[in-house]
Amino acid sequence: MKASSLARLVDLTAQLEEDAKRSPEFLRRRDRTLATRLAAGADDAERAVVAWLDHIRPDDPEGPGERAVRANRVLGMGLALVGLFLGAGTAAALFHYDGSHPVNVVRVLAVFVGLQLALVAVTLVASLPERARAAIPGLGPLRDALVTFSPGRWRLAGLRFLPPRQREATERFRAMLERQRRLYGEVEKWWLLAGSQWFGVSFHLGALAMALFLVVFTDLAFAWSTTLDLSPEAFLRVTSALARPWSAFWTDGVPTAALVGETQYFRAAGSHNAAPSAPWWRFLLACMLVYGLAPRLALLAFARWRLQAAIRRAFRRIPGVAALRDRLESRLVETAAETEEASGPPQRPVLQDVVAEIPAGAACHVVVWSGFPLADAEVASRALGLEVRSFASAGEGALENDARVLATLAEARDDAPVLVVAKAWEPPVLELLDFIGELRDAVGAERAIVLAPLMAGEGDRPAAASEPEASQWRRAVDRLADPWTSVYAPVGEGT
Amino acid sequence: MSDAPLFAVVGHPNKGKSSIVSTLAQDDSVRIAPEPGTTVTCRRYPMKLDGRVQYTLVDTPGFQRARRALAWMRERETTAAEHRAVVEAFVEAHRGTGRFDDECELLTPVLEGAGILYVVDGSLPYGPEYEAEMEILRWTGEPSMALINPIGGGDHIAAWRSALEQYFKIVRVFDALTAPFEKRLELLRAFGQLREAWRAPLEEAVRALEDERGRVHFRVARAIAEMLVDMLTASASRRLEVGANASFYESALEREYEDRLRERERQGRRAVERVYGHHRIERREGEVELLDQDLFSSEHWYLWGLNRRQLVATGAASGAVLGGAVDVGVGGTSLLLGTVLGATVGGATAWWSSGRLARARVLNLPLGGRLLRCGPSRDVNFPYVVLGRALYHHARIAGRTHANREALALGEASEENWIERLPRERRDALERVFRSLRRGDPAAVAIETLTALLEPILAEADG
Repeated sequence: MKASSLARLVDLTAQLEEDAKRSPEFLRRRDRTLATRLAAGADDAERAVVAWLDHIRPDDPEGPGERAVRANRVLGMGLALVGLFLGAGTAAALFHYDGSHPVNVVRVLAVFVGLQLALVAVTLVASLPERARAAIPGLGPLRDALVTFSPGRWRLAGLRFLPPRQREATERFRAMLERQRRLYGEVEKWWLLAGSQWFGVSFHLGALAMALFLVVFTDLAFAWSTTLDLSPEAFLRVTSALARPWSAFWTDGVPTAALVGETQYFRAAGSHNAAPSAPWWRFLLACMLVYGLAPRLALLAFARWRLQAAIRRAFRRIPGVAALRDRLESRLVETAAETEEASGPPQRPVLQDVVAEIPAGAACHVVVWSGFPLADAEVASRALGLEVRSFASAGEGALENDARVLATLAEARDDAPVLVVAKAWEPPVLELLDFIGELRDAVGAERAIVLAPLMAGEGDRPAAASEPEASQWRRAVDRLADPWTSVYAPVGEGT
Repeated sequence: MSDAPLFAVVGHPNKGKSSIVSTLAQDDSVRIAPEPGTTVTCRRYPMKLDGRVQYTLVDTPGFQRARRALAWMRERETTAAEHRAVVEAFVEAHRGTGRFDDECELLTPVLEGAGILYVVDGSLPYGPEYEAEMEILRWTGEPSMALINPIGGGDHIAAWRSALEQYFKIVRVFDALTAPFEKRLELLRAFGQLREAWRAPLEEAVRALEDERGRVHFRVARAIAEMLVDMLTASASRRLEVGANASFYESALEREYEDRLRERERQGRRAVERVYGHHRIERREGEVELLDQDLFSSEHWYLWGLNRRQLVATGAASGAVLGGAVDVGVGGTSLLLGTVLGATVGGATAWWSSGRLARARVLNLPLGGRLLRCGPSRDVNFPYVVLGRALYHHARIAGRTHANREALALGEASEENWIERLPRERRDALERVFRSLRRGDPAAVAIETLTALLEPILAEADG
């Protein structure tokens, strides 16, 4: 298959449409992985895209591109058959001779030279670039009309006779051209023109074959006849001009003055001489070949060349190709986690009333945890507004220090609550909660333990924790499920 | 196991470890919460280049019982040379026991040879409870760096720095919430200083991230160009019978058109955010406003989907065929006059009768009618309003870290004067594209041109 063929264009459009539904992350990973494998020989951007497409959609006879091309080929063959029959029919009609009236050379020239040259001119107008058409008034509607009646379009009439999958692929191709008319306009134009030329070539082949058949297997008489005031000399000038392309090397194909003079025919005269008219057939067949078939062959080759160029241009301009090239050319950088994050402990509302107020001046034992800035009992008493019966520090240095604090509190003979003052800005780590548990064991089941998460305030006076710090402490104490352990709220802030 | 460098982000609970990982890994799926213990297991964030791991970041749970863990280790300490073995023994002894789950989890990657990135919150005061953590980490013998991440408003960086410098050779301040892209790369380069063998892969990774950032501008430019072109060519239309009261349908059609524009703009926003790896942004933005006084137009529509020009072409061609038949009938003596006359008459008839055809009915079905269309906006300022909003949004997204979980509030884009900042030649080039779109030139070409124009603008805004 040729690079950037019609099948590839259809496949690429279909693939990019499918890819538009996929996530960019998936596409980047897939295409970059492919690109690293296809790196060799894909230095040119277009070739890289073609290599990518061939890899992602390996030559698949059931792919939409291949199906559309196959269907196009079948429809083209149908069109060629119609052209052959029409050409043969036209030649049969124009070369008809039943012995009464000779074949009129003027009529054959009008159809196989005059009309053909006019149609070639029309084709050239239709193939003008869009800008040129826009600059010439009236060419736009003319081009629309030509496209509407283009034989290339007749192919579509045969759609209903195709197998369903080929029909679907062709309709998809048509829909692609319709939907992105501005993008694929040139492709459509040359596709239709190539179809038209294919029909023209078939038509002329049919006509030539039929004319040759009639010349070989029947006896034809030729003459030239017209109502116009055309002298044999003037007609000779016309035929000589038409024969110029082959006159240098094939003189038998050039009508002579004698032939022209002898074969002028008037129906009113009623009789004609068949014998000298025979050399006309060489001239007429040469005209059909040179002015009918040859321009169509040249236009067919030109249209197919322009179609390939239009396909190549469309290949580069299809929306999504630039993004595809970006995916192919840029290294795949991944930084995110490959696995889902494990869920943490479920957050539940605080089930019990864990907040406790301590009346001003009430007695308590104070334990300062992990270096909270309260220097001694006196400072603590002043700062908290409580009677501090004992004061200790835990949560820093060696664990033996914590053990000593626990032992001291276990020996206390009163019921005063134990207030553990902690930094509210730090989270309640398990080490502190372990200490609270050990404290419970040390002081007995019903002694009040109050955890006081506080902020360092102005001077010596600590401040109450703000939300959300306070809430994490309430939840931590709630998880202890100990009705005698609570969170301290400075007076007036309890809930 | 890969030989690529491994970095364990460790520290006290709730000190921004996950924020740092989220920002460096450009991953907004990392759970970040004020609640301690949100991270319960290690999560790995491999940085891959075409599938090859360059380095891996590991987010770990915080220390919960550091003093007790250190006490266990000290009980078994013999010489300094045995420190690492003691830490290994600690993990071996406590894995799965439920007693030191967090410590075992966070020490596992370190004992695999990970570089240690110890994170503290520089906005809160230093405390002695951190010393046990730092001591344990020192015992592992792995290369380490301390990162001061100032999460809140306080400033205790100096105190932290002097404490951390006693344990770590490298101490850096890194605000995970606001660090610009260059700072993130700088930090990654610094990771390479922890061990000589890590320098090359980290340098390679940084180069790849820089290249990727350049590509990001192309992708964003394309997303914005596609959105712009869609919004500038969008319209809403309704087929009405000839004689129907159009004003009755106008407000619904206008609403449909505006909804279409707004949805397309939202899609554009999501596309840009996605390019930058933001998948969970909550956005607050005023809706785009239309500036046109009159958005409505109407034209005829016809059955078979032909427009008026095609009808005329078809009529002219039919006339030409009939006229041509006359020419053939008279043996060409008319000199193709029949064809020319036929085409003229056919075309003219189609032109004059097209209005009538629209009103005709067959079996009570209309053959045509009026097509009431709302949009596209013809206001010359509208493209600049849309583009200004898009550039403003991009600037906010490009500068946003993945640790930032606040809603993205977009104020008035006009306050930023995005368009006025552009050099004149760029504005002229943009205007040419917008004009071509108003003329109906191919959207695909406009997207390509706009992408090329916007890419350097976005790169400069991000630079």
